Order: sequence, then structure tokens, then C-alpha cells
Amino acid sequence: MTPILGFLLVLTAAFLGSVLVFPRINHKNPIVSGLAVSGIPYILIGVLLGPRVFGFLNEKILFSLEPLISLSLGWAGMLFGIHLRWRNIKRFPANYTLFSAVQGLIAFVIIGGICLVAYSNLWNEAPRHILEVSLVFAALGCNTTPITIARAVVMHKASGRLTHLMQFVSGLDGFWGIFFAGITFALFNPLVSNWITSNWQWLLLNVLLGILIGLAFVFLVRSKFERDELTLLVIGLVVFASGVGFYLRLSPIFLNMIVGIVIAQFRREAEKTVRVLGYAETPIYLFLLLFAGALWNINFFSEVAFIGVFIGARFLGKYLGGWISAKTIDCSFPIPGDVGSMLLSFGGISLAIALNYQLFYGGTPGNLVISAAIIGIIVFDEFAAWLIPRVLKRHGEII
Amino acid sequence: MRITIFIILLLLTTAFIQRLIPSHTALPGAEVVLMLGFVLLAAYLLGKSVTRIRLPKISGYLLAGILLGPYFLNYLSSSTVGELKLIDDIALSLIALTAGGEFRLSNVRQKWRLLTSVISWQIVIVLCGVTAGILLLSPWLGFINQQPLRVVLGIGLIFGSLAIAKSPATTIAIITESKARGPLTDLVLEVTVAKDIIVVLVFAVILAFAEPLVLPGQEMRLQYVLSVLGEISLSLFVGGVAGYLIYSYMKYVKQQTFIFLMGFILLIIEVSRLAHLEIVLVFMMAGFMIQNFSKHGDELIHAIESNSLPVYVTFFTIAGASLNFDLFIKNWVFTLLIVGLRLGTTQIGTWLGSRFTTTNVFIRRYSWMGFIGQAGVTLGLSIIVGRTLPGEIGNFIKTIMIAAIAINQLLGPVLFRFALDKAGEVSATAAKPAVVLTSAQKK
Repeated sequence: MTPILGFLLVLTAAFLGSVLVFPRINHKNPIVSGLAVSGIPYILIGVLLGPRVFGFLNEKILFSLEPLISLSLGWAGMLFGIHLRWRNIKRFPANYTLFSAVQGLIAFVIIGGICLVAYSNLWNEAPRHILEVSLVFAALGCNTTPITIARAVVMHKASGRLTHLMQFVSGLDGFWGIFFAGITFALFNPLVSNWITSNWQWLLLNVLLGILIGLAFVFLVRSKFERDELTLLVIGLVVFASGVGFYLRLSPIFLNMIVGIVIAQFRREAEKTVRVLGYAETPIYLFLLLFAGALWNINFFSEVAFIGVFIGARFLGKYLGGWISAKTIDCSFPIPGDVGSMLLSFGGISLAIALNYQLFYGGTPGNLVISAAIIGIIVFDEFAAWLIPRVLKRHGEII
Repeated sequence: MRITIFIILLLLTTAFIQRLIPSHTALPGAEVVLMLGFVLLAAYLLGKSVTRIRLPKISGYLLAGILLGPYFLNYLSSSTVGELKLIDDIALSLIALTAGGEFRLSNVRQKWRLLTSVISWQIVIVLCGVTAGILLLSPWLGFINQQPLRVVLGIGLIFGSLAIAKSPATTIAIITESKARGPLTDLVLEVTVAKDIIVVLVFAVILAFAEPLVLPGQEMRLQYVLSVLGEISLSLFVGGVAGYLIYSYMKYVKQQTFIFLMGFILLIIEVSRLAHLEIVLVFMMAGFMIQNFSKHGDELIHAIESNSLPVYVTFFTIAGASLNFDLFIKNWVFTLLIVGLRLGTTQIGTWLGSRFTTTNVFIRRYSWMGFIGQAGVTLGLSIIVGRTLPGEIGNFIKTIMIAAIAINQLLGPVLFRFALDKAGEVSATAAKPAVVLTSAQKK
């Protein structure tokens, strides 16, 4: 099996999935739709194709396909960022954003703290490394995927202020995960350069490069380009920005998200760009799921214990984050204390962060984050798909 | 102005990043991703800029590759260029599919005499003309003047057969970019496609005859000719099967055609490598089958043309970055001789071929310009020469041809675009029909 055939396998699986599995997202049977939403079939296909089962995608091929992973991460980051238009966010009450920030931060701190304690007890590593891994897990765990709330709206006709708030928070939540992950990768960047004397400078460089690339692109596409030219320019932009992140070991997701956010503030340029980005959204997500499955290498005993702690920490972090935010932030309507239970769904951004870490560092911690992301998807997405309609119904948002 | 400023920003940012961290400390593959993005943006925009001085975009991509490549600014190092070579095969496959798809039997039936005449005269005149030119000028040519006559004849024949070869890549790229349509466009395309099959066979036969002339004691190896014939036949057969599979997909599935094509191309590339098939022939045949034996030919071409720009930009930029100017500088006299002989004999051969078979003035005067570009096919044949004739002579021929290909690759697009402009077949500059005023309008 050569890298080309390996890539071809991945492409074929992604393509078949986009034709066969994804259209079943709104299937009446909740198990079928839940599986389609969570992407679990893809993870399983990745496991089957990967080195631990059939070995079609062996370690050498996965290694040679790493640039493709970096590209997919960058694409996901930019696609996320380009939807964060400040004018659109301002239309919502300001306290909604505060709610999102506070619950995200609380979840981050709780998950990070618990993982720090667990990791240091289970493995004897340097304190700096333990802190780094814990922060990555915290970034992984603190965000929410919006698709489960969206499904509740579509399938159960959920509506009301609480639903509205949850849609907003879950849509914005990925920002915090990517943001915290980006800071972590920058602050713990192992690269040495004569021009960079502290890791805060890596973070500053990351942000400045994202802003510069975004502004330069906006400046460029103000000229008239044909549709196929624009497609090429957007592809070139994502590849370049992903390459910058990958080359400098700064999170390509974070860098591309900043680029996307900059472009998003210019409506016409954003519209031109999002049309191209959206075209590959489904295949990119499927690629990431397949790669995650192929890279998954679970070492049963010590890892399962830690992942159990992570799952518990996330339940606690999201629940407490929601509870504290509900009690302290006034959103002009009473917010129930169990609001955090509606922010449990896991998904794409967390997986992307996990793959980012595995790409840069690999080894046991890399395996651990991938395992946590995959098990998180299996546990949280199915549970959230079951729980959310019930909670919304209890609070009168589903009749 | 915007484009210029953006290109400068891009160059400065990339240079800054490369100086910040040396490439050997970056993660494996990181530099390739970075430079691929850089190539897509910088090369495309440079290509767009050169249209202001009426050069075709692909000349801009080639120039971008040269400027950014290892011989000048070195943004694209030799190792990065090597790692991006996979895109060559993908691009050639897409180009070959389009070329085969543009080869319409209905057109060919109407002008088979013109086609066969042009092809025949080109092969004869170019082969004999280049060989005769080298023989006549050999006393003044450094390396050759010390060789016996039969060796010089052998060398001349090999150069002649390599001079016949032409790449479809440039032809398709210029036609696609300028959306050219018309009799001159059709002729150049159809001759290029047909010649691609014939040239490989002619080259094999010539090499079989020339080898005993150049290498004393070497017997003529007809097995090589037979093996080439076998490879061509197998490539065409596989191409036919591939065409049927693509057609079946387009007929029954009808979704995400381009993504399917990309995957299928990768599969066939791997199969071709294992079975020593000629990728260009495989996909030309596939495109030909779909166009002429199904209703999906235009759909296929449209799917490729509307999505393949990033692949073409990378392909021609890498081609530019791969050009070896050292070789040209060391052997410029002989290289320019070969280029000049090829230009002159192609012009004569095309004129003779079209003189009595068409009344179209533009075809007679300008169509020869569409047959100058050379790239991968000729490069591949030159490498075969280097392997088949070990030692100084084989190396000499390979070196000169690689340098000549560089020149032809730069000249070809410019000349072809000029010819299309002159013939009025470029979509924006197509000649308008003369207006005949009615008597009422004259008043």
C-alpha cells in the first residue's frame, strides 16, 4: 500500500460517507440519525483501515498523510472563524456572549484542574509536560458542538428563549476551545528561534500572522476575480495559512480561525470565501474522523482510567459552568440551573484539537487525546442527543 | 496594483517564516504544505499579471516557477520541488483526459486528409531536417566534430526523433485559458493528440536503428520496439476500460464527478506505475472514449475545466522551477541550434502538410506555432536516451534536450497564443463578421 493508495482509500470512504451516511442526519430513527451526526461509523472505518486492524493505512502512510491532516485542520478552523462576524454577534444580547465566555472558562478550569491531578498521579512526567497535556484536555473538553441543539430545533420544533440562548452558546463555544488550544500550543512551542525569546512572543506572532494574512486576503479579493479564480485563491489561502501554522508549530486551527474572523468582518469578501469553504466542509470533517480512527491506539488500563476521569470532569465542568453562568449572568429570562446539561455534545472542534496535538507531539499523550476525543464523541454525542430534547421539553421549549 | 502589493507581502511573509525557523527543524511535510500554498497564490497572481503584457497565464506560471525556484530566489528548494512532483502526474492525467475529450471523430472525419498530411510532413521534415542540420554543422560543433560520421548520423537521428515530440500540456492549457475555438485550435489539438501516440513509436524505432550507429558492436534491438508497441497497446486498452468506468459513473451515480475523477486518477496512476503504462495515453484514450461513444463528453470536460485550475498552476510552476539553467548556460550554442532547427523544420513541415489540404490562410501561416511547446513526454524520452546510451554521448543528448525543452516550454505558449490571436480564435478577440449595409441603411 503506497501513500497514494492510502489517500485514495480515505477519499473513497469520505466520499461514500457524504453520499450514504450524511443524508441520514435527519432520519426518523434516533439511533440512525445519532450515528450519522456523531460520525461514529467513520471512526470505526478509520480503525478498521488503520494499523491496528487491517493495516491499509499503516503508520508510514499515516505519517506521509500528515500534511493533509494539517490542511484539513486549517480548513476547519477557517470555516469556523468565518462565521464569527462581530455585527451578527452584536445582534444578540451582550450577556449571551458573556454567558458563553463564563461557562467556557469555568469548564476549562474545572476540566484542566481535574486532568492535572489525574495525569500527575497516573504518569510520572515533568510538571511542564503535565500542565501542557492538562491544558490541551481542558481545551478539548470546554467546547460544544451546535449540531445537537440544531437537530432538536429541526426535529422537535424546539423554540423559545432558552433554545435561542443554547443555539448561540453552542455556536460560539468552539471559539473558546480553539482559543485555549491555540494559546497552549504557542506557550509550549518547543521550537527555538534566534528572533523569539519567549513563548508569549510565539502567541503574539500567531495572532499577528493571522490578522496580517486575513487583511491581505481581504485587500486582494476586493479586485474582481472569476469564480474558479476565487476558488483557487481561497484554497491557496487555507493551504498557506495551514502551512504557516504547521511549519511554526502553532495551531493551524487557531491561526486559520483568526484569518477567518478577520475576513468575516468584511461582508462581501466573507460571502465570496464562505461559498468555497462550505463546499468541502463535509468531506473535511469526514477525513478528520477517518484519520482519528486510524490513529487511535488505546492502551487499555492506564488510559481508560484517565479517560474515565476526563469524561467525568467534562460532565462536571459543563454542568457547573452552566449552573454558575445561569446564577450570575442576567439574560432577561430565568435560566434553569441544569442548562449545562444541554452543552454536552462533543464533536468536530474537539476532534480537530486532538488531531492537532497528535500531529505535533504524538506518543502516549497524543494517543491519549485522540482516545479522549473519540470516546468523548461516542459518549457525549449519543447522550446529548437523548438528553437535550428532554431538558427542552421539561422547560417548555418543546411542546 | 493590489496584486503586486499582495505578492510582495506574500514573499516577505514567507521569507520571514523561513528565516525564523530553518526547514530542517520543522515537522516533516510542513515546508511542502507551506510552499504549496505559497505557489498557488504567488504563481497564480504572477500568471494573471503577465496577461497585461499579452503573455498567456501559463507563461506567468512558468516564470514564477523559474523566479521562485532553486536557481534564483530559492523559495522553492529542489527537495520541495521533488515532493510536489506527484501533482505532475495528476495534472498530466487531467490534461490528457481533456485532450482526448476534445478529439471528436466527427471533426476528424471531415478533415482526415489535412490531419494525416500535417502529421506526416511534420514527422518527415523535422526528423530529416534536424538530422541533416546536425550533419551539416557537425564540423563546427564542439563535442560532435570529433565523432565518426556514423555516430554523428545516429546522434542526429535521435535529436530528430526527440524534436518531433510535443507536449499536450501546453496546448490544452492555452486553449482552456483563452477559451479558444476554431479550425486552427482544432487542428493543433487533434494533431497533438494523434502525434502523442505516433511519436513514442517513431522514437522507439529510431532509437533501435540509431543505437548500433552510436555504440560500436551494439546490435539493433528490435525487442525494444516490440516492448514499446506492447506498452502503447496496453495503455490504450487500459484507457478504454478506464473510459468505460468513468462513463458508467457519470451515467449511474451522477454526483461529485470531479472528486470521483481525482480518486480514479490516483488509482490509475498507481496501476500505471506498477504496469509500466503511459499515463498520458491511458487518459487520452479514456477521454476519447467518453467523448465519442457517450453523451457525457462535454460534461466531463466541463467538470475538469471548472475545477482543475489549482492543479494546472502548481504543475506549470513546478515545471518552471525544475528547469535546469545550468545546463543551458554550459551548452547554449548547441541548444539554440536544436531549438532553431526544430522551429524552422516544424514551420516548413506544417506549411507543406497544410498547403494542399486546406485553404485556411491562418492554418497555413500560423498553425506551426502550436507545435513548439515541449515538456514531460520529451523529457521522459530524453531520459530513456540517457539510459539506453550510457556514457558521454547519451548524457550529452539528454543534457542538450533538457536545456532545449526549457526554451521550448517558454516559447511554446507565447507562440501558440500569438497564433490563436492572429487567427481570431481567442474568445474575447474573435473576428466579427463583416456588416453588409442595406440600401436603406446606406441612406
